[in-house]
Amino acid sequence: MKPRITLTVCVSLALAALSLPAFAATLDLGVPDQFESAICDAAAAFVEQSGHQLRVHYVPVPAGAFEMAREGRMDVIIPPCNNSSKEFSDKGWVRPETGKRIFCRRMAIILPPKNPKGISLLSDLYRPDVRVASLTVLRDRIQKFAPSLCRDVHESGDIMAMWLRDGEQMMDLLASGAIDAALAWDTFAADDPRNFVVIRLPRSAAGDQAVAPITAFVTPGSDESEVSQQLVKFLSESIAAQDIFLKHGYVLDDGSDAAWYDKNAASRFEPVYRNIVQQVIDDYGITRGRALDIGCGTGQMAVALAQMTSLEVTGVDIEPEAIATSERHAAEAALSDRCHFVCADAHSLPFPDNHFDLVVSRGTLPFLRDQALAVREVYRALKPGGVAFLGGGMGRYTPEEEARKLYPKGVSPETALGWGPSQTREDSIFPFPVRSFEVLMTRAGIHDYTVINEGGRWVEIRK
Amino acid sequence: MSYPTATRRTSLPGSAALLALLIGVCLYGGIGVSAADPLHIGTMPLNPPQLVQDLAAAYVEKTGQPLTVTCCAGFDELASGLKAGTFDAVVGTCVASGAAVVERGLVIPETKRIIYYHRLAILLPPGNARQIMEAEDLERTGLRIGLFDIHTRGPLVEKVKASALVISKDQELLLDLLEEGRLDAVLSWDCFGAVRPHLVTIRLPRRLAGDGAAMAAPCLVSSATTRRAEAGRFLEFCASSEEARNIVLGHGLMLSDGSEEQYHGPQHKFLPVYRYLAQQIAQDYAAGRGNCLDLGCGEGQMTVELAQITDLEVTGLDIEPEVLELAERYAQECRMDDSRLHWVCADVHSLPYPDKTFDLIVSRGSMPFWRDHLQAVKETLRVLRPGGIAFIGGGAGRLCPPEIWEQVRPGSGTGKEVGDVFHFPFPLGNLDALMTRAGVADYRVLTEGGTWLEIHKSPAGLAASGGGRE
Repeated sequence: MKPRITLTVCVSLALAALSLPAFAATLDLGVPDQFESAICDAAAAFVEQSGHQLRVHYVPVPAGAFEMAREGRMDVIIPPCNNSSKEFSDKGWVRPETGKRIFCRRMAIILPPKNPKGISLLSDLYRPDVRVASLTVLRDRIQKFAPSLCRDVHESGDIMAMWLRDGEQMMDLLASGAIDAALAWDTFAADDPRNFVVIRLPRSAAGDQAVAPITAFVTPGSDESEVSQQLVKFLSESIAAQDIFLKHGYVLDDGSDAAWYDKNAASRFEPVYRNIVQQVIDDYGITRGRALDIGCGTGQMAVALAQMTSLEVTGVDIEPEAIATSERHAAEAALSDRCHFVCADAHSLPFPDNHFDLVVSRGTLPFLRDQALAVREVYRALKPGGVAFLGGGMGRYTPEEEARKLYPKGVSPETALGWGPSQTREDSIFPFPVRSFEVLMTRAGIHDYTVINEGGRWVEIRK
Repeated sequence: MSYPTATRRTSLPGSAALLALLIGVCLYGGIGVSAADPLHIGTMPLNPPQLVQDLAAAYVEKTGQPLTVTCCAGFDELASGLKAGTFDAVVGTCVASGAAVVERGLVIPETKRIIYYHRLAILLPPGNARQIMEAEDLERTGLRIGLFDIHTRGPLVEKVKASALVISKDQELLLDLLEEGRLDAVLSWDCFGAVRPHLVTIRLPRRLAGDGAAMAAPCLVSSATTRRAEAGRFLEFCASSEEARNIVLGHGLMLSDGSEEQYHGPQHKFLPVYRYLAQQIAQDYAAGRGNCLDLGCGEGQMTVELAQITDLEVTGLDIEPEVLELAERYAQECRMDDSRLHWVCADVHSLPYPDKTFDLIVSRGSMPFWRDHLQAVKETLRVLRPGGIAFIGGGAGRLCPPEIWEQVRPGSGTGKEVGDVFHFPFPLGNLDALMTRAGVADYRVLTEGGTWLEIHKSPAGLAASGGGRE
């Protein structure tokens, strides 16, 4: 490959000139077409930051990737999944040391908005009233954790309604009501504006098939291999790229952190959750009916809520492994009958309208990519007369000194939601810091709310 | 109702709470916490759903003054809210309802401010398969037309009323029928196109639509409010601030009702620039016959010039109906009213053409007015034929002598750049990043005589650049 140093980029815009490197390279990047907008967005951020040029080539999956790689036209290629990754490494393509995974695809049940059939578990797909579809390319994978879903269509009582070749067609069928659920990668729903409900499956349900880390490869002997490595590092490690993937609804985690969090951090917060639950009980007096905990993590607050009240408690979290841990904690407290956990996204809650008497959430808001949408979802699921208590911090009943010790480095009661007077995104441990509840509630169109700057930063919403 | 924002309960422990409160007030006083009661704002469902909330949120962010926004189900609810004093102000109603509430003494008329204009428009399905480009096309036989029946009037509406398949006050129903393919076109307000931005919106000029062509979305202060001055400040923000203007434009709405467009003839001082540029385009891209589209053609100088010096079939497209009338008149003056020249009033974010329609797409000076550069580039690529070229940017081009450009450009003689003297609502960012974001592989950024993008749509096949999933 001949060197492709372009001069045009150097003078293209005054804005870019500020961050121009000594030379500007032009890279060819191969992207599976199903990830187009997320990876193109992240790659564009690299162009903005580095001043190099990137030419993005869509690779129809699965056919085209290898063609293009063989022709030697790509400097960097992102294979659609692990199987093809192996083929690339066998051919001498390099997975840079720095290039950890870019993001993780998780096997998921995808459902229409508001989850009309009330599906929350893999076992719900076996119900006779549920028509399930999946993709032919996923059949081998699904065979490994749900063999009975994959029985031949001609056998009596087959469960899978149809196997499809086209992901977009699958999502259209779901939207039209022709099928009730799809079993596929969560990325199929990620960029879809139709706000599908996504129930990600934990390793405990789908085994190793639950996760597919997406990585990048650099071509052997590329003239621009240094810049290529820089690009891969940017896509897989930079805060800017991670924020972009989260913004598109992708999950970065493969679930391996969940065990660490459970072991090292969870127990320290036990008293805090009890304090917050006590505060909620004292202030709102809601001890019967249905409660929802958004971003329940390891489930401590949900379990405490069930212990200290007669509420029927549901916890949701986007991380499937957090759900598995929460279920274990509930079982240990002998509260499995009143504590349920669903792996779902706060932006499309799998519950009907007017369903919960109480909604709580601690420390989750600054991880939500569209907080106005998430707050509207909370409001939708809340019963008239119900209360939502959302925010971050240690609560009013946790003594100040103890509270300060518990905050992670760089976070204090005043910056409990990731935003302080001198903070920038780089200083914050949160991807989407909450700046002002007043602005958020105005954007969400919610009138009846109270901001509480005590024991952290909280907002109380009444419907 | 009151919305205390500070701590309101007996607290445990008190000193910690007081400290937290003090810190909270100190840190967030500027952006969030305010002792003020919220102002109550009413609005109407004819606005895009997030518009007034976005305006309100921007105001809250800027001033700390809390606001509530209530979208009334209809005019009666708005009027009763005003009468009961529930609303301090109303934002984004329409002239007719505005006049009605003024007549009933529910608002203070002299505070009336306009945030944008509704324009009468033809709404069409994406891709516009029936190729309806102007009002006359609605007279074609066999078309199934829907008419929105609230405040739509004027000669065209009367004509359509006679032949419409559905006449309804329910815009959701009409748009659903359009999307399901049971109607071919809906004559309605452009604001409903803004609610469903994938629809094609053809705005109609005042000449054809009569006085019904434009309807102002005014802001009004309730006569029952005790907070007239505060409400006035918010309305001032909605009607006059740059932030609010960009929010309104960002929702795909129009700031102009077309009444200020007066024909002074084309801006002759720019003519040489357009001529040089058309020559450059003809030299570089326009070999032989073909189909060419000029995005944001304005008064049509470049469009006409291209038709004159090439064999191309040229369409000038602009979002302002009145400006296209000027273009048509200019073409007639140039004796270029021939069949190779067409004018279409549409939005670059949802082009009224099927895929792969044009061999060449050109645009000068229009891009910094596009609210979503990425969407516009995607639309451009969609309607471009494989092997076609798009040449989009701003400046005078390669052939124009710099001294001529320097004489005519905005800010000439002041030593300032164009961007310093001219307000562009959506300035260009990094064009390389835009191309990467759009997934375009085959492009060049040209910086001779301005800033230009040259995009090549590769012939069909593997790795078709930019076409996405074809």
